[in-house]
Amino acid sequence: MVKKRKQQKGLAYSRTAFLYLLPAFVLMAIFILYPMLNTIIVSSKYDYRFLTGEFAEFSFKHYVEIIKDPIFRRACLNTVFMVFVCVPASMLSALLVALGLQSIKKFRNFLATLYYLPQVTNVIAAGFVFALIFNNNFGLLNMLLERLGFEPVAWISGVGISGSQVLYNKSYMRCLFVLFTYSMWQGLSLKVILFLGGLSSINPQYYQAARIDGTSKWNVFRKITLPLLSPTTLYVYVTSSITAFKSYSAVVALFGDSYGPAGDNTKMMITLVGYIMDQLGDYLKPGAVSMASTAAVMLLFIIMVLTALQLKITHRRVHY
Amino acid sequence: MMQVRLENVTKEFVGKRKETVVAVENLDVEIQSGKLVGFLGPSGCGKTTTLYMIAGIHTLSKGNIWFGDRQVNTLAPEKRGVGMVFQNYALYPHLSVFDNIAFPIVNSKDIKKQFQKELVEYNKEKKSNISFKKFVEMQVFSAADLVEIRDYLDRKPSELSGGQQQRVAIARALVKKPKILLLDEPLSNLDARLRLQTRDEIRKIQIKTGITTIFVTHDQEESLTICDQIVIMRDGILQQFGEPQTVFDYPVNQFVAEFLGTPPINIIDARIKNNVIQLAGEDWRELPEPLDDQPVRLGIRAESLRIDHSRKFCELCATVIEVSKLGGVITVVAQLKDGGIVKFFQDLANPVAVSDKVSLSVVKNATMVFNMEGGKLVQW
Repeated sequence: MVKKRKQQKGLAYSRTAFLYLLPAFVLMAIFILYPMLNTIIVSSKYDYRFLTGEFAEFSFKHYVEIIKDPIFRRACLNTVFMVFVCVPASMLSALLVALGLQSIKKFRNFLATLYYLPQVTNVIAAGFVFALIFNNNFGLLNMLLERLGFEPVAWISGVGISGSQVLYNKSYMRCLFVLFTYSMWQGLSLKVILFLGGLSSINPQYYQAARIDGTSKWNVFRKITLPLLSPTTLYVYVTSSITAFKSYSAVVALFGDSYGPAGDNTKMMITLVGYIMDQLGDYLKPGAVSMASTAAVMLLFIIMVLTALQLKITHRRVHY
Repeated sequence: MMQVRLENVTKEFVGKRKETVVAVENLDVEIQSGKLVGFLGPSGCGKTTTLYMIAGIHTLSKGNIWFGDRQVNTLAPEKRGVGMVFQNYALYPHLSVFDNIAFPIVNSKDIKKQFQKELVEYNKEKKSNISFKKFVEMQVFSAADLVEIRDYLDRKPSELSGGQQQRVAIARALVKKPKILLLDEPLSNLDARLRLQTRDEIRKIQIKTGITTIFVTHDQEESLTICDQIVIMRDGILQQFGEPQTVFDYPVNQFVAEFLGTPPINIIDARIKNNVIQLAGEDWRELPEPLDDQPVRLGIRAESLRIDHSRKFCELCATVIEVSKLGGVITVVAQLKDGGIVKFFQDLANPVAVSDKVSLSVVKNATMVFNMEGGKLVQW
C-alpha cells in the first residue's frame, strides 16, 4: 500500500521534472541531436551538392572512399599519436609537477598560477610562439643548440621530401616532436591543477598512519597516493583524450592550414578534425560536405569505441 | 610493556599572524607500564598534540619523552614501536580489511625485518617451514581474532559499520606488536550504545595484551570508567593526574571539578566571613580551618546532597522547581534562597515533588570551597 503511494508520488514528480527539463532538452535537440542525425544522413548522400541539396543516391560509398584516402589515414595516425602518446606523457609530467608542488609550502600558489597560465593563453597565439621557437633560421631552440655547439636542426622543414621517403619520414618525426612538445606544454596546466586538487583531497591521516608504520615514500606513493588518486586520474584521462581526439587548432597554429611544413603536399600533420575542416573548405565541390560528414561520423564512432574500452579497462583500476 | 615518561614536554606552534601558540606547556607525566591512561580535556587543550608527540608525528619544542630508559625525542615514528588508532580510523579505503591489517608488516622495512626474524625462530621452534606470506597471514588472523573481525577480512572498510572499522583500526595498530598503543578519540565516531560496548572491549583487549595504552578523549565518562589513571589538561597545562576516583572525589580546582561528573557539580556563590561560610548573607557552616574573608564558590556534587527529613533547621534550604527523569536516574532541580540552582538525585523511598520545600545536607568530605580564580581552598 505504502509502496504504491510512493510510486504514484514519484510519477507526479517526474512529470513536473520533465517540464523543468524541457528547455534544456529543446536546446539539446536543436543543437546536438538534430545536427548529429543530419550529419549521418548527409554522410550517406552520394554526390551531394551543398547549395542545391541535390544528390545522386543514398549509399555507403563515402565510407569506403574515406578509408582508402591516404590523407584520412594520416589524420587517423596523427590523432592516435595525440591521444596515446601525448596524453599519457603529459599526464605523467603533470602528476610529477603536482606532486612537486604539493610537497613545497612556499610559493605553491604562485607556482600553481604560473602553471595554469597556458590555459588562459590563446591557442593560436601560443602556437605561433612555438612555431617561432622551432623556426629553422631564427628559432630560439636552434640558437640555443648553436650556443651549445650543436648543429641547428630544420625542425619544421619539407625540403626534398617529395623525392625521398627517408627524408619524408625524418621530417615527419621532427614535426611530431614539435607537436608533442607543444601539446605537452598546452595540456600540462589543467592537468596539474586537477591533480593538485585530487592530491589535496586525500586525507592527510592516511599519510600519518603510513608514517607511524614506517612505510617508505615510494610505497606510500604506490600503495596510497596512486590508488586514492585514481578517480582524478580517470577523469583527467577521459577528458584529455577526448580533447586530444578533437585537436585541430594546435596543428593549424604550428604548421599552418596546409597541415605540414613548406614543401609538403601530403598534409602530413593533419588531424581528424583537420580533415573535416579541410573537406568543408571545399564545400562547393560535389560530395565534399558528405565526405566531411563521413569523417565526423567516423570520429564519433572511434571516440565512442575507445572511450568505452578505456572505461572498461580502467574500471578495475579505479578504486572507489 | 613499556613505561612512558613525559618530562617538561612543550609544544609551540607558529600561528597565522606569526605569533607563537603554546599547545602544550611543561607537561610532566609518568605512565606506568601496562596501564591504560586517558588524556582528558576540552577540545583545544593539547591532548591530541601530546599524543602526536608521543607517536612521533609532531616534534617537541622543549622537553623529553622517554620510553622505558630510551629517549625517543628525535626517533622516527616507525622506530618507536607504537601502534596508533586515528580518530576517523584512517583505514585505507581501497584495500580490503586483510590488506589494511597486513599493511604495516608488508610495507615497513623495519617491521618486515623484525617479522622475518621472528619467522626464522618460529620455524626453528616448530620445526616447520612456512613462508613469509603464510606467516603474515597468521599474524593478521591472530590480530583479527583479538578484535573479533575474522569474518570480515575480505570486505572493504566502506562495507563495515563504524564499530567494525574501529576494530580493524585497532587490529592494524596491534598487528605489529607495538609496546605502546595510542588511541585518538577512539569512541567519538560511534553511537551511544556502541560506545559503551567498544569502550569495554578496548579495556578487555588492553588487559589481555597487557600493552601500555594511552588514549585521548573529551568524554569524561569514558575515561572514568576504563582508565587506570587520567590526565586532565586545560589550555596545554596539566591540571591533575591520578586515579579516576581520586581525581573525581578530590579535584584540585574548580575546572577539574566541573569537568568531571554528570550532572555537572553544583556551584554555589558564597562568602567567607569570620571563618564562617555565608550563603545569601546568612551563616551556613563553619570552616574546618581559618581562611581570609573573601567571596568564594562552593562545589557540591549532586550525589553528595541528601534530603534531610529529620533535622528541623535548614542546612541548605531549597524549593524544588523541576523533577527530570532519565531512565532510572531521577534528577531534582531546586532553587536556593538567593536564586542559585542545585541539582541532586531523587531519594526513591521518599520522593519529593515540584514546589516542595526541602532541607539538604552534604555528606562528609564533599564540600569544596573554591576561590574566585578557581583554585581549591579547602574540602571537608
